[in-house]
Amino acid sequence: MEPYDEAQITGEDTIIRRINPQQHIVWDENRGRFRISSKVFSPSSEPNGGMSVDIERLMLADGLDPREYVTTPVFTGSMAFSAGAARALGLIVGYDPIPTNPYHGEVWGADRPNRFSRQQRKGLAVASRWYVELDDVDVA
Amino acid sequence: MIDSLQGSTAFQDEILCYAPTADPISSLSPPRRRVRVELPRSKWMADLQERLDEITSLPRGWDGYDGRPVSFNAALFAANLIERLFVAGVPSPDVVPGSDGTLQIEWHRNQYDIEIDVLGPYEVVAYRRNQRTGNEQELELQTDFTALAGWIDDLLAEQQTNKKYG
Repeated sequence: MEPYDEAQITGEDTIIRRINPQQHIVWDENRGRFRISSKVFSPSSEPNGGMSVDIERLMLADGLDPREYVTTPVFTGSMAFSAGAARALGLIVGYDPIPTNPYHGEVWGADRPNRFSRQQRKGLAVASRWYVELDDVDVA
Repeated sequence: MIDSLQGSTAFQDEILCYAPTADPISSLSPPRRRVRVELPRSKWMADLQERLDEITSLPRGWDGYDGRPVSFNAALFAANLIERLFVAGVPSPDVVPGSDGTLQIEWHRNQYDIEIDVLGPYEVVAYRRNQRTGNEQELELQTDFTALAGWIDDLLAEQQTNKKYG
């Protein structure tokens, strides 16, 4: 899928990123708490691959419970940010339905689709909130 | 010999690489040559060996999407970097895989956040934030990692200060 910015995805749309608690959580001694690693905001390695996400509005339109849809025994947590927040960081957001997930989308870097700058990753972390919360873990 | 290799993992302690079969003509014991691959011996690597094995063996889709396991090259480079940066007294870092097969080495302690993003061999983006001063640094590094050694020294110094003054 070529990167593109989907006009139907509004700035208020909720973009979901799943969390693997076994891989994405680190200990923060400064806080005395666990936190999500900034590494969670990694695009894929494919040349046009962005960061995989789920588009909430598409699930709602199909009458699904998004929180249930993105939560499995493995991915027990998820975070969310608005499409507008991603765009404000110079990222673009589009649909990328795949056979196993018709609600799949991508967040791409504007210059290099599969590379986010440190500031963009940090910005996504700051803009994110829990969608399905993991107990005793800070978002960022 | 083959059996001994079948159970091996990428960061195991020792790899027995070569032992010739017995020479049917000679009555002497067959020569044996053990080829050793020098492996890191620091406490950090001892702590992280299993973790590196884990993240290089992740199944495709481990991130809930199409995430791939950490590449062996990235993990090996990270292991060497971790070994070179080791300073006794500083606890082991966390290691976090990225969906793109890269990995990040992190410390969040002693008033510092340090994140070393290993995008591949000799391709590193490092970030440090001093929580006390709010000062942030970001470095793109390829061959010279001296600055990171300084960061770890600072981590230790802060730790010792904290111990001294409670």
